[in-house]
Amino acid sequence: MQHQVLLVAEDDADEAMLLERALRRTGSLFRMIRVANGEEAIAYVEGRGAYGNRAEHPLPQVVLLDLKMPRKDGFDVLRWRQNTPGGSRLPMVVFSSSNLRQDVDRAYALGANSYVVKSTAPERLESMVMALHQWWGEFNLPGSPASS
Amino acid sequence: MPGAFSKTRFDWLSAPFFRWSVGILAAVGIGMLAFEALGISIFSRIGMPHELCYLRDPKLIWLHVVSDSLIGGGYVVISATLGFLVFKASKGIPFNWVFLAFGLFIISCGFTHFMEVWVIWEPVYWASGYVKVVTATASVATAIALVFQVPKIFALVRSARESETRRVEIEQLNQELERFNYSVAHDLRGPLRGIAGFSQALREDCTEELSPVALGYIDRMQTSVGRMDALISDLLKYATIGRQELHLEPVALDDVLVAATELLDTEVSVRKAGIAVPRPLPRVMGDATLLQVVFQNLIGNAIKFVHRDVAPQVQITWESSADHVTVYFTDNGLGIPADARGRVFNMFERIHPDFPGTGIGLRIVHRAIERLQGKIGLGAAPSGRGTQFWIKLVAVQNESG
Repeated sequence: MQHQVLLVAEDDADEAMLLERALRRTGSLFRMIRVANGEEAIAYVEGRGAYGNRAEHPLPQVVLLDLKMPRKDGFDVLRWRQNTPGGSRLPMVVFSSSNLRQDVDRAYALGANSYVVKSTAPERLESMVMALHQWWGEFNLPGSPASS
Repeated sequence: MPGAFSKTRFDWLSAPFFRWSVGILAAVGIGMLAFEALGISIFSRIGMPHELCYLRDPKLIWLHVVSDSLIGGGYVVISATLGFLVFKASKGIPFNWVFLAFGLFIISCGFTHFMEVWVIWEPVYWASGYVKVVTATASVATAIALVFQVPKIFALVRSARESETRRVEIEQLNQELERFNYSVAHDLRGPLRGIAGFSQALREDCTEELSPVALGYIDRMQTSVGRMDALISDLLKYATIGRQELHLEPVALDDVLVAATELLDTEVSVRKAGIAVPRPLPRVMGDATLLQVVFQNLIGNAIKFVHRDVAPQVQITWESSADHVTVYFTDNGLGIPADARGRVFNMFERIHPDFPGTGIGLRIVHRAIERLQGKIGLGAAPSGRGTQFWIKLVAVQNESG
């Protein structure tokens, strides 16, 4: 069985590394692919440039989206998805350290499917990725691929 | 020192003018009395009353009588008001002596008009003339004084404009500082997550390579991370309280209490604390989130700072007046020494350093109360043991049950 892809848009390499470790430790079946900013995330989903080969870079089951990133940030990615026909079929979960009301509301207004605040406690990270896998990988039934 | 120079210059100019005009008026009055004493009555009737000039035409006479009386009356009221203002706000009004001179000028103008009425029927032209002398003196003195005040008035207008600009600048700087605080506190979190995460990874992935001493160090690292995280959380809370927009609206304190105590569930059960509240609590003008922060911190402190072998008892009482609702939080805790009570709301102030805490909680409460346009204070509990905090909040107006 092919592993489902979790696309992680995260500019901080340490955070990405800890996330990958948490996935491994919880025995998640997600295959994590990391991009370092919003621009790369959009290119990945569109299958452009380095991400042209769908066999190597399959469409993700869900995108974990940091908000504060260089070039294009998380809000830009959400806005791009809103303006892309069929884009809403690809679930996007915001994963940010900001719990500011205005950030949360703005993300939902731009169509975020869920909003998770990053925690300093390592055990919280593990329970989060477990829940993430269970919900978006097992229970949630995704729509047809957004683009091909 | 140019500042001191200009100050003396204006004082020298201003006060004597007032004294001069008062002096001249007094001289005129004494002169009048002297005339009387010499038998030359200023009220002597010479010539014909003015009504003859007005051809005894009632319409013409009444036109003059009514107009002059109204002008005179108006002048008296204006000068009385000026006098009252100067008397009431003598500290707040700059150059109040100018106001007084102005008032004197106006009131004497008024009397000139009253004399005009009088001389229609009685030819008291001397008296009328003397009143004119008084008016003339007051007018000239005020006019001269006013001319000399022009630079000072300009300076005042300029400084008022400047202080308004400065106030706006300070407000902008404050907002910028709060934004800065927020982003600094927020950005500190990222590296902290790294330290927390990798020290946990070290402990879990490299257990065999690590000696018990090394594991002990990791423990200490993680405790420090926890403390730093609490500190950042509180700083962020503090910054957020200053940032968010507020609209005071009626809030039921009962709901606030329920929400706050729910968040304190663990502390209450661990410490076996009792919270006594007379229900229902009133409603106040406030903001539910801020009030919850206030209640959570005050009740949380009342539970936390209690001797470890004593079950915390928190008593919440309240009283209300037409404008305010005062809520009291009384505990049976360690108490706060009288000489430390002034410091409790300072940033990072910790009265009981043996107990965990960041020293920001009461600072947050203070800030929240400030934003709610309320007041906060504390004293010893009435029983003599423990502390009593009180908060004074804005009452809901026109609330009839």
